[in-house]
Amino acid sequence: MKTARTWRLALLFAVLALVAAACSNEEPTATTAAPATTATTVAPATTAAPATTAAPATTAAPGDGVATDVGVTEEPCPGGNPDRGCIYLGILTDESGPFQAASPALVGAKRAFWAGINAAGGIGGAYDVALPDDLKKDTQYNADVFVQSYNEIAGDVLAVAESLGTPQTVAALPDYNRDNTVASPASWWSGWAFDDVDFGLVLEYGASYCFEGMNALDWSMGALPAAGRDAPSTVGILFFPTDYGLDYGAGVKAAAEANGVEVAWEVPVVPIAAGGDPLQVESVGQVVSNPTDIVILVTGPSETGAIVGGAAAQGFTGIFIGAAPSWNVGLLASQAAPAFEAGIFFQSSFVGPWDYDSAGHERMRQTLTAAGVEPNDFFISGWVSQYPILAALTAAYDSGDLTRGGVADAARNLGTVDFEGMTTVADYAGEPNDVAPRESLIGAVDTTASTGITVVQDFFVGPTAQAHDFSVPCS
Amino acid sequence: MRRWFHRLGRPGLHTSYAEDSGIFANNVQRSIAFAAVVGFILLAFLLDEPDDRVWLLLLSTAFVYSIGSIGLNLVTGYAGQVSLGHAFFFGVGAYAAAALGGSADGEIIGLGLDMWIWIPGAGLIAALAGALVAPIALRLKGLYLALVTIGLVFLGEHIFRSWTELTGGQGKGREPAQMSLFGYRFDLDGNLAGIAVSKEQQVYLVTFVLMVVLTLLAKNLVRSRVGRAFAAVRDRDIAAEIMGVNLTRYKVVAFAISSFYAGVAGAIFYSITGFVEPNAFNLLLSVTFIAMVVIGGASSIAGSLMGAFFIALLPKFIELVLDWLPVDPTTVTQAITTNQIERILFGVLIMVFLILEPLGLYGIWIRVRNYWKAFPFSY
Repeated sequence: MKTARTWRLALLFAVLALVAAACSNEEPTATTAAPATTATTVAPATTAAPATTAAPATTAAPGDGVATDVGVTEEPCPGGNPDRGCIYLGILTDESGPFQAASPALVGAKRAFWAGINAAGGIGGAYDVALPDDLKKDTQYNADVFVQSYNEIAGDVLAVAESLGTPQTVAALPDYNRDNTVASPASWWSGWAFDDVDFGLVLEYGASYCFEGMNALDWSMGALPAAGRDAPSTVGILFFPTDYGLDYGAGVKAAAEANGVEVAWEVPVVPIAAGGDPLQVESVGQVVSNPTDIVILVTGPSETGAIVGGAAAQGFTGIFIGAAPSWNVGLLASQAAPAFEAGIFFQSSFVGPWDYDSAGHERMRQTLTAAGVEPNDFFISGWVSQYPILAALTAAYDSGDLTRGGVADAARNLGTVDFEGMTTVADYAGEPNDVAPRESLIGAVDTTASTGITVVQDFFVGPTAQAHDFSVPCS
Repeated sequence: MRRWFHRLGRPGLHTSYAEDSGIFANNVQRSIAFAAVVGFILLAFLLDEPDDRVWLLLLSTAFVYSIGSIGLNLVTGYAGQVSLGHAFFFGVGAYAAAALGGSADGEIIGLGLDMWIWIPGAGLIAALAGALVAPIALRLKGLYLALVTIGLVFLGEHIFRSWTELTGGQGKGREPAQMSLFGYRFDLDGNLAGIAVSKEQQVYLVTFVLMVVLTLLAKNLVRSRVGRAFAAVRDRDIAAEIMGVNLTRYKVVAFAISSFYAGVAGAIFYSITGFVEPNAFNLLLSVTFIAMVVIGGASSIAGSLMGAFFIALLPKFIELVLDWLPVDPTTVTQAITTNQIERILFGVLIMVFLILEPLGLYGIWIRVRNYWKAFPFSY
């Protein structure tokens, strides 16, 4: 009897010990361990680092005199330079929602960008930067999952290299603010220019959707008469009813009012990825039955193909202008290709297309071509987004404070960031009305161009954007 | 072990009226429940590292899902009225709370009221919506009722997307109700009785307390006259009517109470993440609640909790399993993400439970219990 009780007690302790071990709150060593796939497949850039990195001050041992806390280790990055420490950046992307097709290119470009920076000396010659797989989360384009995903990686990252989606990023802002986490948005909402909205932690780049929309319509006022058409007097807007569509649409409407153009209709479009009609019959019907001189498309490439192809097939003779994300070179291989080749579609953008002539584009092309990447506009967006993060990390390192707080301070006092000509210089100091970038460009379909688009109007600011009082977000 | 399980009592076998009608059948069950409550409260203070935040968020989600799941189980499991419209009532609660408790200084509707107003307020507004819908259940049953309630979800989605003054609009959303009680903010880092606590810890405690209170109320309801009427309506409505159960009244009550729970869950859920967006209240959310009830066990309050915890913790569990596997399927196939594995498992589990274990996790628990009680003669 006694023996049985002893055994029972021993068993009880063994179970309790197992439970205690399982519930242990010990820091897993894997958090600083080597993630396997960190950009190792991408060839490092052979040219110099962008101007904003400045020359590495020294090749000091990692951490020499530099304060660090979360997301920075003295151990090298997986596969990185053994003499340097490692800065870990997180990625909050969408791998199973409406932007799942864009995600690999956006993330791949970022990894290639940082591989190039690492090859050119890293941050101050003391730290490499890694974007490992275990710090990349699929947020499903869902605000709840986004906040949860951020909190999963929050203890292991210095900053967030991709924060995809406006509502999702807005949801995470209180947590970003509490943790002093700087983030790079994969959205161009005009609200990111305002520090009272994003606490100065979201480092936007390029003209917002809103200014892009203003410039698109302003451009058409002069360009269409120059091409032998009448100056537009009516415009229709097909848009995703999201921050993207509403912000761009607000810009178009402001420009329409300034130019005396009538906004004949605005019709929301359900994204095909979200269960919308693959043939866009309703949208095509709207375009054909209520023809306007210009149709603005604030949609995705799939919708653009269905609408432009369908409307052209039914005899629509007006002009389409699409926002930057509405185009994809794949459209030239679709059934709608003849409509695009007929020259009725133009694309506005905050960044030059793949073949654009700039030092930044050249460096990006070399890096990504060496890695065997097919030209894709999402790579450009992903690549260009990292310049401000690089500038903030470099500034924080130079100030000797590579902690979260140090990087947040650096981001809030960033001043200007040069994108090597890929998009207009950003200025993060001063009021949005004084410093927010307003320049965008216009491209036309060109079957010989790498991404099917060639620039017909280089970076410019239209009169509407120029005169716009940017004291509040457009939407 | 056998003796310990024996003390839990045998499901369905009650030897006294008090045992039959008690919230807990005996003192052992009562002690376990009390220990669990104390344990969960202590857990909030043990999980105080920044790395623990995600667990607090997940558990808070599980608590809120539990409230919603109990609501659906009351109308579907207990009263037998199949509803796929739970996401609609969840949304009504979320927006009612946002309107009542949201910040009053924006362009979007918000009255800036306190939690003690907006939590019951959201529940009551959702209950009113439920009571309005209930008459449909008087005319339709089974599959037809399910189809009509699906319609509610689509209707709700359209209203939520279009009513931008209330919801902020699709793709933009709005801030939810502020978790503020008599001026004390639970949704900000703070100080509870001299202990510094993070907002996640506070939200965890608030959602936990709400879950406990609403669970006890539900347990109390189902053992009462109303609960017995629900069961009578579910098992055979004509027979129930002949016995004097007022079908109209109890179907309306079932929908109203279920919607109240959904409304409270919706109200509090978005205060966890700090953001509410109109696209969230879709059919998938309704199916998620159905899955909780099916997997946890229909007509069982404990099953509702088990199902809610299972669904809330499933993504983390899958992630842990994937980390543990020597080969990561997401990198091998390049075509499947953790989220897709989760959805596949989700569908498979609903089918498996419906076919093999209709009583859900609760049924499995009963079998485990009975096995050990009869050990070593478990056959």
